[in-house]
Amino acid sequence: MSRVGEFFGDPEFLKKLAYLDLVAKQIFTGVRRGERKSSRRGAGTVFSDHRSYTRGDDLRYVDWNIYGRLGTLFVKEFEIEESANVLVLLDRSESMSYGDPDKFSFAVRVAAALGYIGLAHLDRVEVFPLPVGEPRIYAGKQQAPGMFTYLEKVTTGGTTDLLDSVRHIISTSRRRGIAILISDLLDPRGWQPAVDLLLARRHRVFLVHIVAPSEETPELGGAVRLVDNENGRKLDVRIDKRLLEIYRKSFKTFCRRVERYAMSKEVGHALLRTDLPFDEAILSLLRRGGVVR
Amino acid sequence: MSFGRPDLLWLLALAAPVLLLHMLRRKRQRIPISSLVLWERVVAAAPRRFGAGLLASLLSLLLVLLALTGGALSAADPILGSEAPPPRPLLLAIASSARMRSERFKRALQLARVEIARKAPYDPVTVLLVSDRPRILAAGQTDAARLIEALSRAKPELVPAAWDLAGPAIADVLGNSGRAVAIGVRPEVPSGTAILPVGGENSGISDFAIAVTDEKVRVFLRFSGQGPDAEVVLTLDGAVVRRARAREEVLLTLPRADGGLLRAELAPATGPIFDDAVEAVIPAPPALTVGVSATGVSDPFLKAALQVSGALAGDGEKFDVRVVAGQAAPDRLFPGDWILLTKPPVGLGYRVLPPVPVSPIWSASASHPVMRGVDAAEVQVLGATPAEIPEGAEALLSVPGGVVAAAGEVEGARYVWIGLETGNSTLPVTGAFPLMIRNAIAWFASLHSGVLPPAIRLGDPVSPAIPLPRGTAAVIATGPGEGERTVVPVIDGTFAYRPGEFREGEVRVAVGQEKHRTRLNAIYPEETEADPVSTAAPLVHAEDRSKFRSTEQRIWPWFALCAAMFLLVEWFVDRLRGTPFSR
Repeated sequence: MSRVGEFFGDPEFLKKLAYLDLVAKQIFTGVRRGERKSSRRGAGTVFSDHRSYTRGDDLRYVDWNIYGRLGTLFVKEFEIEESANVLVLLDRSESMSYGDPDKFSFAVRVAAALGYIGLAHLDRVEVFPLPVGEPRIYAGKQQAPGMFTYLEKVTTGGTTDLLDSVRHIISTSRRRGIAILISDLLDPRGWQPAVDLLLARRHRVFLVHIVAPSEETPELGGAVRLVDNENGRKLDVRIDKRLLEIYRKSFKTFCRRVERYAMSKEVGHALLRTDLPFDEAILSLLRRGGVVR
Repeated sequence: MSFGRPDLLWLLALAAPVLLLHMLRRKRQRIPISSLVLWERVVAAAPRRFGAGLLASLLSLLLVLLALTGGALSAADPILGSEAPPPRPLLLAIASSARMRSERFKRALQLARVEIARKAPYDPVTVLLVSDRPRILAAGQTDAARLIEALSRAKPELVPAAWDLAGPAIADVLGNSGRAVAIGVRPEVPSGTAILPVGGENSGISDFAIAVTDEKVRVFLRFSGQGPDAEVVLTLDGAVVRRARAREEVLLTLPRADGGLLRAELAPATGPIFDDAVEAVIPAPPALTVGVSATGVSDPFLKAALQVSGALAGDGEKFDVRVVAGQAAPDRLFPGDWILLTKPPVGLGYRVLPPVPVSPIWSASASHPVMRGVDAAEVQVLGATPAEIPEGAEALLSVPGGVVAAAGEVEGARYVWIGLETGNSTLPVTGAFPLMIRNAIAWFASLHSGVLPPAIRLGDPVSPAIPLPRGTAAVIATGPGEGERTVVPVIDGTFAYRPGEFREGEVRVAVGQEKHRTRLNAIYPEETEADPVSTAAPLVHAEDRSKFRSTEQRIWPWFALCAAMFLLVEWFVDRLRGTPFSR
């Protein structure tokens, strides 16, 4: 069973996903019609405001009632609903291949689910594997299978450098939108600069923090040589109960720091353990973390 | 230190794989993790103890090696001290037959205890009691205390020793390089068996004689080695008939019953007392029947005398004593008992003398049983035909012209001849005639019984008691296959005869001119001995193996304990490594 097809071949599950929507507190300017409120005004159905008539305005939108009372031409403005730009930033560094089940498989499924939710709401979904791979852009629900197929093919590789990756993405995709960072956030240079950069670019940012249970409570003991999955660096250490306890506390502190940061920056945040049932993670935890509604 | 199983010392070679495993353990296990980011921070934050990990690891290795060494040495069965010989089974076969009663059995138990004390502590001992069949008292027991306790339950029985049945068990032990020790008077055991004899004079009842008369039984007992409080109990067919203090000598008189097994038993009291028992069969009084010759009894005095005896057989009945009256005595008597009331029986060698017109009884043989109680002093005879009696006959009554009554035996035929015309004498009137008839029948009866009651002390020489005439000072006895011996009576009228070598058969006894015969009748001939076995030779016990006790000490449990302790400490060290870790 492929890591994506296992869930996304099920129409019922897709239907449940389609009911969800990515929470976008900001109003973005889209490039095409969609379901999200746009900063632009236009030929919508929902009245928004009046403005003075200028030459070239469509006479169909002139408010003739006001003109009758005031003798001045005003044009009615309507809200237009456009698509949002959803950036799915999928961490595919080697650290994501850790765990059983591995974090990357879980992250791919989360990316597929969130991407599908975006496509279901007529958003423009850009999938960016990090470190930077070839971005793919999808629009419309009919392109969901293509997205799934693409995600299926993405493999892990490279080291984590979120800041560089985000810089690169921002340089290629200048459109603001919803940025979903799906990662274990284990970046030697830190994950915060990358998120700060996204926020600085006025993206609505979601942090989906993927954690393997064996990272949280590793079952190690004795004299071991720890080998970093990404860069092959080694650390010889004699692990005993006390050290394990320190590690667990440290890991908990790390997760709590991510959460606290997300709260302070109004960043949507969800901590997902890979041993959780995937549908529960999507339908419950992401919603609770304010990623979807 | 030596090893019981040195071949298991190869287990020490397991140290090599342990060392190898330790080296492999020292080579750290590679564990890939997602990122070192967190671990580096953790290690940086934790306090360090340089070298502690290495020390703990080496200590752990040392403890494991020590535990392995302890376990291997324990398995090899280390023994401290000089090398102990292998266990040697010991079979103690103790005779518990009749002749082992009394002091002998106690001596046998004492010898058995000595053997047990001389065995090695790990030697298994089997105790076999040999009576009419072998009985296992303890099998393969190594604990000396339990063996002693088992010996205390042993008792001799009034049965012979079946050494032939014990032989296979003894041979089996000998075949398994064990030792077999037979303790008894004369154990008949396979060759290779060590014999500890317990013969010799036995304490307890040293002499026993009985005299049986028509009315009573006199019992004579002599004791040796008894304490002052010993008591002898007489039982007849199991019923206690008399108790008496067992002094040096005891003479007891019992009323005679119909016969039975008389048993005198020493009852243990205080002091150095040996239980003992003797038995003798008291024959029931013989009841002979009398038949009269075909002419019948015409003499009213004779008729009365036979009726007084109460043993007159009816017509056609079988009888024991034949009375010939009213006709001539037969020329030849066939074996049996005869009362001849006839003229002198010429066929028996009597020579008829001229008749005596009137005469008093000149002499009477008072000592003869037929004349017991007969007072012939006032008797007058008329027209009696005296006779000269042949050799082998004894005169009972005599007149100046010859013998008128005699008793004798010819070729198995015993007879009493009374040559008086009873009607022409005062013999019946004085009552002497009926008495003579009754005595004659009783005499026949006493001879008829044939076997005098033997007094058999179980396990000791046979002493058949033979009744003697009063005042007999000495008798000459000839046992089967023996020469003549002079024997002193033990009680008045009875002597106890001990043959030099026991044989079943007749003993001939001569008291003056009187001759007696008796037949030896041992209950268990094989348990009866002629001579006490000499114990002058020193008893040779088997090799003293008790010294092995102190020289051998198996110490494998200590090694096993040490190995367990080392493993326990290693486990604690492993658990309590605490914070030490090394990078």
